[in-house]
Amino acid sequence: MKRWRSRRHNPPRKILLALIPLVISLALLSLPFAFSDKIRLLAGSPFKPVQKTFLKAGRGVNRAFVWVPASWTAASKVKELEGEVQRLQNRLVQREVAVARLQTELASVTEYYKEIKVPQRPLLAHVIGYDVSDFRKTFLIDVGSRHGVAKDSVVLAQDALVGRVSSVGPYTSRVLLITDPASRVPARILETSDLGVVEGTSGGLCRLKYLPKWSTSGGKVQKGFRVVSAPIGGIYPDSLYIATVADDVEEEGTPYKTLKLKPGVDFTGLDTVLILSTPPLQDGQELRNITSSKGSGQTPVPLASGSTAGSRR
Amino acid sequence: MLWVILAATALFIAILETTTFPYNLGGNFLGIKPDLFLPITVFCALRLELLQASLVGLVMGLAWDLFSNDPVGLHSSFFVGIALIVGLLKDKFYNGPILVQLLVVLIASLIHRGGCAIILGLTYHSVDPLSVLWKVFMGTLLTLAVAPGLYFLLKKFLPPVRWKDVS
Repeated sequence: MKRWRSRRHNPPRKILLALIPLVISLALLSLPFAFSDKIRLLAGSPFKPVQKTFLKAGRGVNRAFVWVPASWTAASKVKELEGEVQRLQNRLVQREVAVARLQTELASVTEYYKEIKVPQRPLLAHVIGYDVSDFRKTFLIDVGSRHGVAKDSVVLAQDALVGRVSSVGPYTSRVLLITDPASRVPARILETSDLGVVEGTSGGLCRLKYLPKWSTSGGKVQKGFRVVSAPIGGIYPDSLYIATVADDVEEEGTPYKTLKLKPGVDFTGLDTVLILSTPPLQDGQELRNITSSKGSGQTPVPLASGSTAGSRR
Repeated sequence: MLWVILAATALFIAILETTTFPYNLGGNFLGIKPDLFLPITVFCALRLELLQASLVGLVMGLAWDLFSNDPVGLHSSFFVGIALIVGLLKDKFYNGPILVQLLVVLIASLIHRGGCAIILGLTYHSVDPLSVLWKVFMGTLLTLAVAPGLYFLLKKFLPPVRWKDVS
């Protein structure tokens, strides 16, 4: 009888014990996101060298995989040229923006010039790991608050917008790509000056939303039109190339139009990125040479406008 | 010692999934990666005691949470929940054959990915439903494809599956 009783009563106790990990998980889930994110970045920092090594090894193997068939089809050459064309196109957009601004808004150019006099510290960072989840589009970089990176710093590559820094640890930071569903970038179409918001979709493309159908251009937006950032909200600088219009999404019954966009950066092969960190460095923070990943203690080199951060090709 | 090995395995998988899998090394298909954490959680839940299974789920989920931008605790909650459900129901069905175990992995993966997709869709309305659905099903298939390898690997380290006919 006693044995029967213990058998009857043991399972619920076991189940209660087994529920403890679930309670721990739910307790972690209820922590404020900023706090848990800080802990996560801090806990993940020791794995930075391992991640770097694995990523390098992965890239090496990947290059070998690509090179073997490419030697037969010359695909690598085409890819290289495509990358070059993309880089030049992105640079061309920047130049066009500059010319347009000079011609039409001389006064605001002066204002802009004053703005860029604000001490910005461009940093070169290496990508050390991507997100585990297929639904999220983020990656880790090997610089943190110790190097002068601040939350919401703008991240660039191939002369186009990659995203912004969403959380900062002492030695690593997480970059939220423009394709992540949590990303919102105020933007305008270069050709029509229509304003909208670029949102990530968790896929390879973005969307330009809230584009008024009654706008001056009459909503006549064509494929290939370029989308650049708008200086609304104070995070993103003006006229930074974001994406190209890829398709039109008609939404009935709404006064707004939505466009599908192809990002100006190829995120898959991204190796290095540039971070525009506005806040100045404080005492005790490490200086980092933009030309070297190891360069602590060296004076940062000012960045030329036509920098070539991006994928290693 | 076993728990140290398990934690090291979880971290190793997490580093693998964040570094080499985004590159086409056979483990990535159109940007979608297989989930190596889930089969291990399910196979452990089928072979270990309920508390142990639940702890395995916690370790695997925390390793995922550590290297993702999702809220900390989201995936560990999913993994512990899956481990508990599998651990509680394992005696109710004949779970010896590999095919049955793979079916459990399939269902668990659909629950995990589907749950994540729903949470993501509710949090951010900009999510593309078609792309997310594709990721749920393709990711589940990829997870299922790698599961047999993990099954045979774990078979050597874990005790055999016990099946108790309660009927």
